Parts: sequence; C-alpha cells; structure tokens
Amino acid sequence: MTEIVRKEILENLNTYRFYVLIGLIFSMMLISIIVSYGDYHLRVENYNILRPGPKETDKIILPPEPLSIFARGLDANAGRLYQLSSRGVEVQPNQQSINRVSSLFSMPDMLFVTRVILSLIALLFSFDAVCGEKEQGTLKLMLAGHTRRASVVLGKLTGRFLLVFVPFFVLFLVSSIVVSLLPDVRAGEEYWIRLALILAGSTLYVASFIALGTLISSLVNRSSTSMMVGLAAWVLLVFVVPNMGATVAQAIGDVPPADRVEMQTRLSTIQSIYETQQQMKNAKDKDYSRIMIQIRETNNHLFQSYRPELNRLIELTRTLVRCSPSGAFSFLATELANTGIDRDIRIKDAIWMFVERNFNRFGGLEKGEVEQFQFRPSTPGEQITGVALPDALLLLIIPGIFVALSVVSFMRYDPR
Amino acid sequence: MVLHLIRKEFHENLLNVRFIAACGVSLALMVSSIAVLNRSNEEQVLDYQSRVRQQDEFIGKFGHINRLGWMSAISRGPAHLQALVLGIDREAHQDNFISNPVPALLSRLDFVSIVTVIMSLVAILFSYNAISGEREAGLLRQILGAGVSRKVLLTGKFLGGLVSLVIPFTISVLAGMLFLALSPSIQIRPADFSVFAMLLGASWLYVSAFYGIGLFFSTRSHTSGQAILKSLFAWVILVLVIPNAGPFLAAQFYPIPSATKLAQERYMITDRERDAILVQRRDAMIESRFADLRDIIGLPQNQLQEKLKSDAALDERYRLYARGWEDIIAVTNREQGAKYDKIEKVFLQRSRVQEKLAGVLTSASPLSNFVFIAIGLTETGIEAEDHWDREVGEYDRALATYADAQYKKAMERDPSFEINDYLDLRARPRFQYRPAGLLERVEPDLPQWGVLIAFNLIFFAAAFVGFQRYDVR
Repeated sequence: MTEIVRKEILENLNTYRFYVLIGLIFSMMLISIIVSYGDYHLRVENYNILRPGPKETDKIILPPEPLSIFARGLDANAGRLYQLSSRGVEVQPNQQSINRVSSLFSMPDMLFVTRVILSLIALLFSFDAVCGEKEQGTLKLMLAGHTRRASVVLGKLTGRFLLVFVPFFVLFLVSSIVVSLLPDVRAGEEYWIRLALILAGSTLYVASFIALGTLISSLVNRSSTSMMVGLAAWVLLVFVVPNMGATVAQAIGDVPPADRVEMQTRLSTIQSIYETQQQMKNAKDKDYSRIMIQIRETNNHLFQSYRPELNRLIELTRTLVRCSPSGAFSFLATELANTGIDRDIRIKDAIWMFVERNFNRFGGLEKGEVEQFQFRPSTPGEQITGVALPDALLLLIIPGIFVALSVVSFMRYDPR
Repeated sequence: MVLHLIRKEFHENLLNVRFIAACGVSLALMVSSIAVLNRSNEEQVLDYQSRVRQQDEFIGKFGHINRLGWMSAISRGPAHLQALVLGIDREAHQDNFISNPVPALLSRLDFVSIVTVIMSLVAILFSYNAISGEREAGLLRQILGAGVSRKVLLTGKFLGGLVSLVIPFTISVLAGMLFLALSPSIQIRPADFSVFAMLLGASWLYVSAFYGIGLFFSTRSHTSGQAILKSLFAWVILVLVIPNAGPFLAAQFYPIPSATKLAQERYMITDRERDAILVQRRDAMIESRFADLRDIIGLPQNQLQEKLKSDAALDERYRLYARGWEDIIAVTNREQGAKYDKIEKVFLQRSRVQEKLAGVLTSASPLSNFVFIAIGLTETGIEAEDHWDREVGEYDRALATYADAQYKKAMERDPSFEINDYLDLRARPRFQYRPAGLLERVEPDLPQWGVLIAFNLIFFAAAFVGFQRYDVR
C-alpha cells in the first residue's frame, strides 16, 4: 500500500492540476487572512470606542474573538453593544462600521475557504482516482500483480488525501503563526488548542470529500462522468443541503419572528408606563417603582415563553443542516472558534440573568452596586463533549462510510 | 452554416446526460426553493398583518403624544417578491435581543443563489470541452478540414451550447414564476411580469457570461482536463472570491465611524442634552415672565385644573405660559435635531462612499452585477432600504404634524392637558407603503446591465481570439 501511496503522490506532484489547485489554496488563504484580519481589526477598534467605563454598568460589550479571523461565525453579532435598562435589553442593530453590500455576500474566512474551496479541490484531486487509471489502461496492470484491491483503493485514497492535506496543513500552520503575531491578537494556550481541533475537523472534512471523489470514481467508467457527478455532489452537499436546510427549517418551524416579541414587549412597556402615570397623575408622592416591576414581569414572561420556541427552531435547523458534512463542519468550527450559535445563546442567557439579578439596582429600587458582568465561555473540552459532539461524530462517521463504500465498490469494479 | 452547427451542437447536447441532469437539477431546485420560501413568506405576511392590527388597536386605546414614535414604530413587512429573491436578509440583521441567530450564520437558498452558484457552474460544465473536447476526439481537424471557418464554428458552438443550456434553465425559471403567480398569498401586479422578464433576461446574460468563460478556456487548453481546471479556477475567483472579499476590502480601504457611536451621540444630543436645555430655558422663562405662576406650575393635574377653573385671569396667564413652553420645546427640538443632522450627514456621506467603493470592487465579477440587478428589480436591496426609509420618514413627519395639531386642540380645550394624557389618534393617517416604480428600480442598475453585456462580449471575443490561434492537432 505504501508503494501505491508513493506512486499516487509522485504521479500527481508534478502535474498541472497540482500547481493550479495549490496556487488556488495559497491565494485563497492569503486573501482570507488579509480580509478577515482587517475585519477583526475594525471590530476591535469599534470595541475600543464603545467599551463602557467602570461606572457604566448598564452597558455590556464583549471583545471580538481572535479566532473569528478563522471562522467569523456570529462574532460580529455577539460583539454588539447591549444596553441594559429597566425596559430590558436593547441591542444596536447596525454597530459594525461596514457597508450594506457586505450583507449580500459571505465573509471569505478560513472556514469558508475550507468548507467551499478545499472541498472542491479535494474532489478535483480524487474524481479520476480509479476511472482515470482505467481510461489509461494502467488499472489492469496494477491489479495483475499481487496487490489486493483494498490496498489499491486505500493507497489511492491516502495518496490523494496527502496531496491536498499536506499543503493545506502547512499553509494553515503558517497562517496561524502569522495571525498569532499580529497586533490585537492574544494567542494563549487555548488559541492553539482550539486551532488544533479546528484543523482536526478540517482533516476529517477534507477526507470526506477525497473519499467521496474516490467512491464516485469507482462507480463510473469515465473520468468526465465522474467529474460531473462529483461536482453535482459537491453543489448538493456544500450549497444545497445547508442552505435549503436553513430555508426549510424556517418555513416549517412555525415560530413567530422576533419582531412579534419585540412589539409585544414594547407595547406592554408603554401600557405599563401609561397606566401607572394615569393612576398617579393626581398623587402627591409619585412612586414609579410599580411601573418597573410590572415591565420586568411582562418582559420576563415574554422572554421565557419565546426562548423554548426559538431553541426548538435552532435545533431543527441544526438537524437539517447537519445532513451535509459541510453543515456539520460549519457548526463544529464556529463552536470551536467561540463564534457559534451555542455561544451566542449562552451570552444572551448570561445577559438576561445578569439583568434579572441587578434589575432592582438599575432602577434604584434597591441600594447597592450593580455587579460587573462576567461571561465564561465554554472550554474546548466542554464543547467537544457537549454541543459540538454530534458534529464531530458525523465528521468521523461520514469519511468512514465513504471509504468503506469506495472499498466495496472497487472490489466489484471492472478494470477493463 | 452557423444554423447547421447550432442545430448539431444542440442535438448533441440533447442526448447528453448533462442536459438531462441540468434540466432535473434546475427544475427541482428552482421550484422547491420558491415553494419553501413562499410558505415562509405566507406566514410572515400573516404575522405582519396581525402585528399592524394589534399596534393600531393599541394606539386607539392608549394613544398619547409623549411616546407616539415608540408606539407607532413601523416595522417592515416581507418584500413582495421575497419568495423569489431574498436580497438583504433582514432576519440576519438581528435587530432584536431575542432574534434567531441562524440567519446570520447560514444563508438561504433562493432564485439568486441557484442562478449565481449552480447555473454558472452548469454553464461551465456545458462549455469547457466545446473546443478541447472536439480536438481530443479528433473531430476538430475534420470539421475545419471540411471548409468550415473557425469564426463560424466558434459562433455555432457558442450559440448551440447556449441554447441547450438556456432551455432547461428557462423552463425551470418559468415553472418557479408560475408557481409564484398562482400562489394565493402573493398578489401579482402587472409590473411583476416585467420584473420576471427582466430577471430572466439578466439570468441569461449571467449564465452566458460563464458559458463564454468555459469556451474561452476551452480554446486556451489542449485537453479538456486543463480546460475544466482553468474554468473552475476562474469560477472560484469570480463567484466566490471577488464578490465576498469586495465589501470587506472596501471597509478597510475607506473606514467609516462607528454606527453605535453615532446612535449614542444622537441619544445625547436629542434626549439628554435637549432635556437639560429645556429645563434651563423653562426656568429662565418662568423667572423672567411667569414668576407669578411659580407656585402652580408642577401641581398635580386635578389641583391645577381646579385652580384654573376658579380663576379666569389665572387661566389666561397659564395658557400664555403653556404656549411659551410649547414654543421652547419646538425650538429646542429643532435646534438639537439640526445639530444631530449635521453629524449624521457626514456619517451617511462616508457610508455611501464606502458602499459605492464596495459596489465598484465587487462589480469585477458578473455575480455581483447580477445580484444588484435582481435585488433592485425585486425591491430587496439597498435602494429599496433607502426608499423604505424615505417613505417611513415622510409618514413620521405627517403623523407628527397630525398629532401635534390634535395635541394643540386638546390644550386649547384644557390648558392642564399633559403629554402623557390620552389623545384620540384613531383618525390619524395610516402608513401605506408605496413601492418604487419599475423605472425607478431599473434605472440605478443600468450600469450593471452594461457590465453584464460587456462580460459576455469580452469572454466571447477572448474565445474568438483564442480559437484563431488554436492548434487543432
């Protein structure tokens, strides 16, 4: 098998395809780091402008996550300014100093490069692994010796995987070191642990597409057909399933939009203020604490009743999107980069509980200092064994299935 | 001869598996995406209508001038053709603390994403071996040897391939649009048919640009393998890199100040600072002109009413004070508003420049031009947001004028009437969104149409030049 791996590498190393595709990975990673770091730097500048002073306990803003340079996820969303008041929590919708054109497109971060471009490259490296040899007539020769079919297909798979993965690994490592040296990036132990886990996820993801390409190649007779089927599978797994999953979940989730909760909260707040003011209009000593308590109770009720519905919708979306390795990888990478959905939910819960604990102090109903807001992000261990576990398992199982199917399919393959 | 070649190319493609696959994929995706988005849209429309009703009833019951802006906030309903083109996904804006975070992470599949990503890839798969594949099969020498000129052959290949690509695509788009037109939840307006036709036309131009790219690389490669690699490289750059990197690069080349900082300044100028000025001016007015009223200003409303009823002279004096106070509020609001407007104007100017730069950078790709055309036509883009803001601004001013007049009337009736007292606003003007006219929607994106046409001409011309030098052996 080692011989086959070596042959695969040497045969492909000096080809036009290798140079074009490696050039593509290199240029994409370079663009990704330049653009993503620039975006991160802008967010850090924004954070520094908006960071509340020690006495401004009614404002919360979290610093941008350095790993968002690799997987931006929801970091720009989570890093907005939260304004706390007796009316609840308000977020600034347009905090980021960036044009509206950006909302039409996706950020080309490292996650995007891996998820979309590296998977395409993996397919382009593997689509002719078996049928290409058949077309050249070398497959017959290869199988004429004592080499076992399983060794041939596994050797091809490993060789082609290494051809894609090794340059990616080197570039990823260089990018990680460069990013760690850039201003505003604090790269501690956790930075490297998280990046190592993201890299491990990328390895499995690339392996899935190499195995898929090899599987398709061992199912058809011509490389042109294999490429067509491979590209169709790529479009399906990278674009259609994740995007359609999100679309379907929203259509069948039957969860009212957040605008409804916003309206209900707003109107009930106005009603509480109005009614209390009317009742106290003629009173000499006006006590407005009643309004605040009423607003707090209503808002809390609305939040508590909407949260489970929203969580159900999020879970449904996750389940549908995970049907594709691309979806599973997105969730895994963003959670590990601390920019995922779970972190967003945890931040909002922490803020809501903080408001709950300090509500009376905000409104002057109770004496005492408002406590300092603190948010403890999950550790990589907690994430891997918790929220990211289904995605990690899927990324382990999917390449395994594709590899097994490739071996089975190659056993029956007619090399003539 | 060209017609003959077109027919031959078309017939060859018809029998090819990729034609059947293209038909199946585009039809299935187009119809399913429109059906799913339409369902989502239906629910959003119903929810929006119910919210408008609830807010209306609320104002009828609890209307008062103090919080009128807050209680009558106009939320934007789903766009009319959102089931077709999502455009700027407002759910991804995350306007509320409790917004669903998923849309900010994952985009949804709509007509635009199917055309831009999937159909462009299909176009390349249709054309990458048009020339190099014929050479590999040894047919190119035979055709050219039979006296067919290169010019005619390339034109025949381009048009024949394009027709076989556009037919399945058009069928799927028409099926999707028909689904939408027959959907009871969408009221199709006459202008929508023009929108559909223009969307289809722009899609043809977009798809044919990518067909031209595949053809060009086919004339620049000796083997089909090389041609597909080069074409896919170009596809990645044009579809995935330029449009996605452009807006973020624009933000780095031309930074704008923080929008939240601006919001904070607005709050300071038009709220806190304004309140402080109001108190200062009112105190000064009382001191200089109404010192005699000092004891009754600030009395509970019922006591004040009693005093005013029992003393006509005092009532007259108090009315004078109330009018003076009204004037102070109006002048201060105007002054503080103008002060903020100046700051906002600078911010908006810079934002527009950055937006323009992002548009210029991204327009180096056919994708961005097509996206701008599609969102412009369906009112789901940047111009539509600006149009919406203008409409809401106009309405807010009309509502404020109406409410002000009502408040003044109430003050005339009862000088002790306060801003927190119930004000009957049931006869107020209601917000009616007037969509931009078709011409207004098309006009800003005319350059994008030009760029798409230019892309087609450039790629075809490049393929033409490439083929003139092509070694057919």
